[in-house]
Formats: sequence, C-alpha cells, structure tokens
Amino acid sequence: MPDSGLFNPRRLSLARKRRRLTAKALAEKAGLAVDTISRLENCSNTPDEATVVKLVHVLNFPTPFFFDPDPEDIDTGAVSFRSFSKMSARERDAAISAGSLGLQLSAWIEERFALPKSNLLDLSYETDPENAAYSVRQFWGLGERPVGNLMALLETNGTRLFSLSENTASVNAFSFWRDAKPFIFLNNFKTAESSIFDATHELGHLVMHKHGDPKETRSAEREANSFASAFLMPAKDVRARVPRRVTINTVLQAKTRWRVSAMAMAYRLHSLGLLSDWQYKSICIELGKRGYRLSEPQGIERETSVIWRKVLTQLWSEKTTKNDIAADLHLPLDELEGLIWNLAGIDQRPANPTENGLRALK
Amino acid sequence: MHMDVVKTVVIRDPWDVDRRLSELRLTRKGLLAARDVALHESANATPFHPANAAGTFSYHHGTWAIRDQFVGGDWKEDRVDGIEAIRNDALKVKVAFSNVDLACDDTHSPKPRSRKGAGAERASGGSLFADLPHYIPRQTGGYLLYYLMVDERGAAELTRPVIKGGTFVVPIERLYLSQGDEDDRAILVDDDGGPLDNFDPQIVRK
Repeated sequence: MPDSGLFNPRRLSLARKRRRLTAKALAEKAGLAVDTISRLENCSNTPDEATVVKLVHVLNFPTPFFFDPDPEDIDTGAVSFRSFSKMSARERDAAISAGSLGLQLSAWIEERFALPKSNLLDLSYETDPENAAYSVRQFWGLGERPVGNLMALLETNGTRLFSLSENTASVNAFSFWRDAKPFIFLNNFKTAESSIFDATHELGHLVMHKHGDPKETRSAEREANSFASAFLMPAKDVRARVPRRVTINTVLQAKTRWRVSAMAMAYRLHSLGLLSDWQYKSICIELGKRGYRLSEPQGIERETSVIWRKVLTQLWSEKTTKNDIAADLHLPLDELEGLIWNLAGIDQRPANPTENGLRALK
Repeated sequence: MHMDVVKTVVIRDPWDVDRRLSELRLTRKGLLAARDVALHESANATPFHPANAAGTFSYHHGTWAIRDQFVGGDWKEDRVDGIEAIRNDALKVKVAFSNVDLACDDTHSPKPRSRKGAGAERASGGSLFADLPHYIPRQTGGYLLYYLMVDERGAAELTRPVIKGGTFVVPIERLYLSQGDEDDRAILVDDDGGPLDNFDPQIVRK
C-alpha cells in the first residue's frame, strides 16, 4: 500500500462503475457489508488494509489506483451521448468512467508529446446542420471531396480520440470539451462505417452544441446526424456523381465512395431528393433483406488513429510498453487497452520485437 | 391484320409525343415513373434469385406502378383475359407493361424479353404460353392495346404492337419516351475528385 495519500473514495466509485457493479454486487463479491461500501464511497469511513485487499481483488485495479488524487470528473450534462435514452444507468456510468480514465491517459500522453492544437469552429449560432457541415468543410479546405480517412482528419485538427470498449450497442460514442480540447470516445463493437459516422456525429455536437446541454434533446441528436450526413456526403458531390435513376446497386456503389453505410447512403440520397419516398422505402427493405441493417457486408477497412500509432511506436522505441504505461497510471492493462483498442491499428509493433529485446504485447 | 400491310407510325419528337400522350390521357412523367419503379425492382435481383427474377420483378412492379400512376378518373384496373393492364373505356385503350430487348431504336422492332425464347417455344409447342397476356391481342374486345415497353438500359416507349406466335411481330404506333441512358451516366467516375486521405497529424516528443 502506498505510504503517501489516503484511500480515495471517488476512485472506489470509479473502479466499481468501470466494472459495472452496483454497491450491493461489489459488497457480495468482496464479502463485505453493503453498508461498508456506501460508507466508504461517502467518505464516512476509511478502509482497513484487509478491506482494501478484498476490494482490489474483486475490482482488479492496482492498489495504488485507490490512493491517487481525485479523478477528473466529467460533467454528464456536458456529455453528448447518442441513444442516451436507451442506456441503462450502469452503462452510462461505465462509459463516463471510461471517459475519466481517458482524461488521465490523455494527460499522461500530453506530458510527453505535443499533439495538434484544436482547430474546430464554434458554430453554436448555426441552426442548419447542412450549413454547419459546409462551414467546417470549407474551414478545413475539404471542398466537396469525400474524406478518405476521417480519424486522421479529426486528429489533425486537434481532436483526441479514445475507444470505448463497451460491448453494448446502446453506447455508440460520446464527446465533450475539456480545457479547450475536443474529446471523442468511440465504441469499437460496430462496423467501420458506423464508427466513422459516429465520430462525425460527435464532431457535429462539438461544433454545434459546444455551449449547450445536448445530452437528451432529440433535436440535438437529429442535428448531429444531419451534420454527419452532410459532412460525409457533401450535397454537390453526391448530386454530381449519382445518376438520376438510383437502384440498390447505385447505393452499394456509392457508399464505397463516401465511406458510409448503405443505410446512411440511402438516407442521404432520399434527403437530397434523389430517391423518392417509395424508392427509399423499397431500398431500405431490400437492404434489410441483404443484412445491411445489422451489419455492413463488403464493408471498408476499419480506420485507425494515426496519433495513437505514432505515440505507441515512439514509446516502443524508447522501450516503454503498454504495461509500463498502465503501471505508471495505476491502471489495469485491460482498461488501458480498452481506451486505445482498435484505434491504434493492428500492426503497431516493430518488425522483430524479440531482436530488440522488447517484450511482446499481450 | 397482316404484317406487310402495317405502316409503323413512329413519334420521336418530345413535343409530338406529349401531344399524343395527352390524347391518350397519359403522361410522360407517369409512364417514366413506372419505368423507374420497374428498373429499380429488377435491380433487386441477386445471383441467388431465379434467373428470371430481374424480369419478373420488373414486370410485377412495372404493372403495379402503371396502375399506381394512372388508376382513378378515366383509368381503371383491368385484367380481362389475363392481360394485366389499365383500361380507359372512353378511349377504348388499354395499357400494359412489358420488358423488351431493345426500345426506341428505329432499326429494331422491340421483342418481349421473355424467358420463352424460340427454343423454349418450339419445345413447348408454343401453346403452353398461349394464355400469357402479351400474346392475345384479339381478346382485347375492341380496345387498342398499348404496352409500356422498357429495355434493360431504361429506354422506354409506349407502343401498340401486332402480336403473333408469342411475340411482338411489328409495331403499329411507337411513342419514344426516353432513351434511358441520358439520365444513366456512369456513376462515380474517379478523377481528380477522389477521396482526400493525406491527413497526417504531427506529434512532437517533449
């Protein structure tokens, strides 16, 4: 047990929420009274060493984690969740807690690396998502061209990307501003196309709802969706390239250009008036039959974070592994991996790690 | 009626076509909408569907779409003698849907794009398909029977044919509605407008 610092009740709550346990469930697993847990989290008690051992064992967080300073709180009011209403409190708490750990990791990285500065517009005055998307495109010099690597585009403009390893469809992504830096947390249990759309949806929140409280308003969700649709499939380009007569095959061809799901493509064509109501309905039914509602057959390759790849490669060359980062942050390895999982890319290792005397990543 | 006495009237000029359509109480827009539905549905056929699925989908939904566009007022749904059509009693006109091999080509009389080719017709003795709607002009009871003829490219004409031996032998009147390809440009030509993907966020070790 660390000799400096006191047991931090808020860290107990954080670890418990990450493990998706209620106070009651934690008490049962640890063989403690429910009262004990609530008293600990309410700061009315400090645990003895035996209790800490039990908690550490059940939660599987390193002991020093519980003696660190207060975690960075994320104001749930300022967080924009997709499908917020569909989430259970436990899912939401777990995701928010991941956000808190992400901030800790981010601070660690930024002590060691200078990352791109935020280059997002504040479009909170803009009421039309189509205009907002157009403004951001113009600001970034994208014109009407499709974006071939959205993650890298977001990172180049200062967005901090983290992954959410929540194995639940109801948490897609969330985003918030912290210290004038935009953060996006993305779920990985989705198709590459969905992740791109989710990230763009969050970009919409970051630029359009910077000062608002968008978490539960349906109109904010609709705006963010329209923003994503317009940003990924710019109207003029779509109009100029899609034949006037659209069939399902057109949709399937078109989606590869704009790197979106077939459903999102059809939706956009309909909203641009290139598909009649009837055709749109018919195409949706047909896409559903072919499995495009639940997944993305013939999908694109998953996009990865360039920054995470560069950071990890650099650290690796200095013989710092993920285990070292986790140990430094007092985090379990699974939590650290969860935050960068899939984002770092498949091949982030040097060609022959053993020759360099490096440990392989688990 | 005999083949060599038929003089085909071809109306190509859009203005003339529209005037004739208006006499027939039809619209180019409505007919092309039905064409669009038919093509759209035929594209839903995949290699796992039966080989004739594209044509069947097109025929079923093309027929539906003609009725959807025009039934009401003068036009009624009609399936007398198995001809799935719409009927205008005042004009004594019927309109049905047919997939054809090639439409709107002066050098070619459109033929129904049926799975029953010459070989199949011979093998079946021809009579097997004799009750299919396309082939029974004499049962229209004094009505002029037009077909909205649509080919795979989307070319469409409204044509009154002479039908014999299970096929359209010669057109009597042809109204060219659309060449099909004018609004069917190749999609997504890759030129300078390809995706932008040269973003490279820079990091600096402190």
